[in-house]
Amino acid sequence: MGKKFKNVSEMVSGLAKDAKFKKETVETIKKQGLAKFLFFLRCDQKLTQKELAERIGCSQGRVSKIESSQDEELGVKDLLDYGNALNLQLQFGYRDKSPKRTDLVKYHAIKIKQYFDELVNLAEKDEEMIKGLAKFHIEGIFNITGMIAESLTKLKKKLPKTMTKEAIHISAPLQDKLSTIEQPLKVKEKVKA
Amino acid sequence: MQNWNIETTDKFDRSFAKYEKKHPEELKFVLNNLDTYHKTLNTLGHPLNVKAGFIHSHYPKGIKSIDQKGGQQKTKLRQTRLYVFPDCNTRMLWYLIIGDKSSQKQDIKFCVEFVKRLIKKGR
Repeated sequence: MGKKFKNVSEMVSGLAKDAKFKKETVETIKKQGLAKFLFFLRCDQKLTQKELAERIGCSQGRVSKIESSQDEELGVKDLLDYGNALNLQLQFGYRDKSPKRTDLVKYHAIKIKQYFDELVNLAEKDEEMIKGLAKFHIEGIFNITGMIAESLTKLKKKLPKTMTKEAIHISAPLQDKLSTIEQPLKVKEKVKA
Repeated sequence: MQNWNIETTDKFDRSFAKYEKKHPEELKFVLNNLDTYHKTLNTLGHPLNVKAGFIHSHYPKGIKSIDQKGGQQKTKLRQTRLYVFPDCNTRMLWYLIIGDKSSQKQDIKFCVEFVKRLIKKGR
């Protein structure tokens, strides 16, 4: 039997002998991240390049060119056209180049909290809506807790036996940390006043 | 969703070495398309959902091939096919062999026999 890999770049690094070829291939793959994402979005909606071109109002050649472009060659218009044709909203943002996975989990947890808060604010006096949202909250507790539990079960298999009885430090949520940063600023404002 | 892992055959490893030496440009474009296929497969989950001009699915036993089309090719590249088998039961993407028009018949024969053996072994 041959060898096992997690992705194509890893396979190229493992099999290629020529350093120049290895570098060029991995770089080509890296430079097309956006185009690959646009390709995925089209596949997700089960559209052919021709069908998407019709929705955008351009030639199939343009769609083909977009999907094989390097990131630096793509324009905002290309991204907007894909968004409009696939009924998706384009959002821009920056983040650290190599964020910690734990920080990403915290970030998304805070986002989830925000969305739940928004849902609660939406429910004014409509009894049916309040009931529905309450059910959705309970569903959320089960599903999200279940996901974390599943991950922990996998991790427990790797955990050394000595570790299982150690106390765990639970850090404050990021939002609490932010509020402690904001507070001193408020104090300063009061002093000025 | 669990990611698709990759496993190569010995024949794939040998054909990879041959193409790296003799047709590196073709191999580079095929590998880029293969990366697009693998990433999309990871997100969409099922091979039937991934359709593109560079993916050919007209082979028996669920075998597919990825070609060199797309990208900015400076010269006209020769037709190259990288044969894969997405095993939905184990979520393993097998890289079977790389070949061209002249070896197409033997390549497909090898792929079909390999997949048959794989299924017989119970994967």
